[in-house]
Amino acid sequence: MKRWNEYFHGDYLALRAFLFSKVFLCMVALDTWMLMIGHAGRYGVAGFNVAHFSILQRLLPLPTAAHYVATLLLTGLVSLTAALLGPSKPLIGLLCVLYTYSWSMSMLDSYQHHYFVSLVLLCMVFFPRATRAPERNELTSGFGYPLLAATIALLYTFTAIAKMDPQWCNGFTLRRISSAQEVLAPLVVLATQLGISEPSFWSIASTSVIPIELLIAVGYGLSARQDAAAPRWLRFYVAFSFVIAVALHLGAEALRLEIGWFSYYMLALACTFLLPGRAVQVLSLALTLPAGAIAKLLAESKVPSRTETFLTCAAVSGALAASAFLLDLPGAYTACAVAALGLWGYALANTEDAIQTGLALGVAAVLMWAAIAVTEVRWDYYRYLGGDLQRRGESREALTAYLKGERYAPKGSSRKSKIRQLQRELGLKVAP
Amino acid sequence: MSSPSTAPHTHARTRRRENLTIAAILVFQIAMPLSYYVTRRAYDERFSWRMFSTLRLRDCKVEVREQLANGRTRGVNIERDVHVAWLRLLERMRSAVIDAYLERRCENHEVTRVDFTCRCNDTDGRALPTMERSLSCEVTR
Repeated sequence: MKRWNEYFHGDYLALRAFLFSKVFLCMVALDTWMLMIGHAGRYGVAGFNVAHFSILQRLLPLPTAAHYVATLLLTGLVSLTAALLGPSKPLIGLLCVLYTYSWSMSMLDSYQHHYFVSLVLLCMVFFPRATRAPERNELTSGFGYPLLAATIALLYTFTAIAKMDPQWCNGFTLRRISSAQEVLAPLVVLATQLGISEPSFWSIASTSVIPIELLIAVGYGLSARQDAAAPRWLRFYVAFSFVIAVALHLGAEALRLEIGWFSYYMLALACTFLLPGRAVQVLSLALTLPAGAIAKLLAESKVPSRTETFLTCAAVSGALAASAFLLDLPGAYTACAVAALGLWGYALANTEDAIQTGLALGVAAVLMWAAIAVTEVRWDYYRYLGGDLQRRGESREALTAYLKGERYAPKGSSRKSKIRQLQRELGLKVAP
Repeated sequence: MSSPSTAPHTHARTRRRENLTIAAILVFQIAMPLSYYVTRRAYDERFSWRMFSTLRLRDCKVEVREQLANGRTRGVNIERDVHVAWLRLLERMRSAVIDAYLERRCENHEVTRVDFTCRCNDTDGRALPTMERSLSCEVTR
């Protein structure tokens, strides 16, 4: 029990948890807005859905594209608000529920890293509350952080176990992964020159991933103890596991795997958990300086009057409405209305920090619009939707989707020929 | 305000509650992926951290045929029926999806029986045994 308590209730550098919360919450917000929304057109098609859990299937209505987009927009808003305000238990708890609901409502989202993000958020509920940036050498405790370290160690262990399979170890599976053959071609040539046959190369490359993942698992397992008077060998080992973790995930990115931002989440985790304390201090200073200045400014403001609070809420509600209008996505108005109602409810119950919350939500709303506007996510949404509708013979609806998508088409990706083809099929005037 | 004698007691209670939470979360996290290996959900790799598994990279083809009340049979164009993403899950033999899809086909009262067939080649190109599933629509009505 002593070892257990030392591990889960021991001290660690407060900056690690602080930095990770900020970075991770920003990533979650951007991930939901910039990546996940693109596939929303799959939801509710032909009235067919299978949820991840039978209880959701029984209790909830059929998820539609609007339903899914609203959930994602709201998830992102809560995530970024929490990042700006400093994560609190209720906010992270709400985020964990919303995020988990976003993927569990349908097996259409079967990315394992979305389940992993839910587990990270669950651990973050138990992170120490930090409203200000901790001092450089400040130590803190709280079981959320070591629990997350143990969670990641388990993930790497089971991932390694999954690869203990003849097809993987013989290299057949790795060869079939995305662009592995193309990316690793120079290494295959080098191996052949060294007298290693091509099948042996693939087998060695695949099999070597297993000990690498196990080494990283041990590194994460030990990382929670590295700040509290840990022996030199432990700190050295954890730093070594940082190098191999970064190499593994950069390698995965080079293979152009379709795994969303999983590698980047894992790199953020490696920087937080596996880097030596001094490196985290430097990184934290660089990354949180602007946020720290804003937080200081907000903290120094006087206790606001009710009128000031309500004026802020009204302004933020306006920003949310404007974002919803500009987003031009189904479910945007619902998400922004729920966020605005939540803010008003909070302001009525607690005026003291409602202005800070409101400002954070307002900034999140503007950034939400900006994040969606600068990426191709709306183009993806409308073109995927159009493609599916056309495949299923719903030409009129497909035409509407393609026409809408044209507004967001990047240069050289226009679907004009498809639009003309559909217009001809439907006997409509063909666009020039 | 707690008296000096109750403070350690409260602390011990909080610590016990925290330890129980930690243990529950850890047990859940070990049990979820472990259940993949100890139960028979070979084709359902969710929550088991089997990213890049061999199963996902198999080359599979799915066929659904239905028997009609007039004795004839016909093939189902799955891509025209539901979103193509569901076809990918059918190819991965996701049990819950197969069951739900067969039930969906049975909603048509002309249909008396639905047969699902999945043929896969492993990552080394070797053909794997054909997997079949059927549903008699009388069961669902």
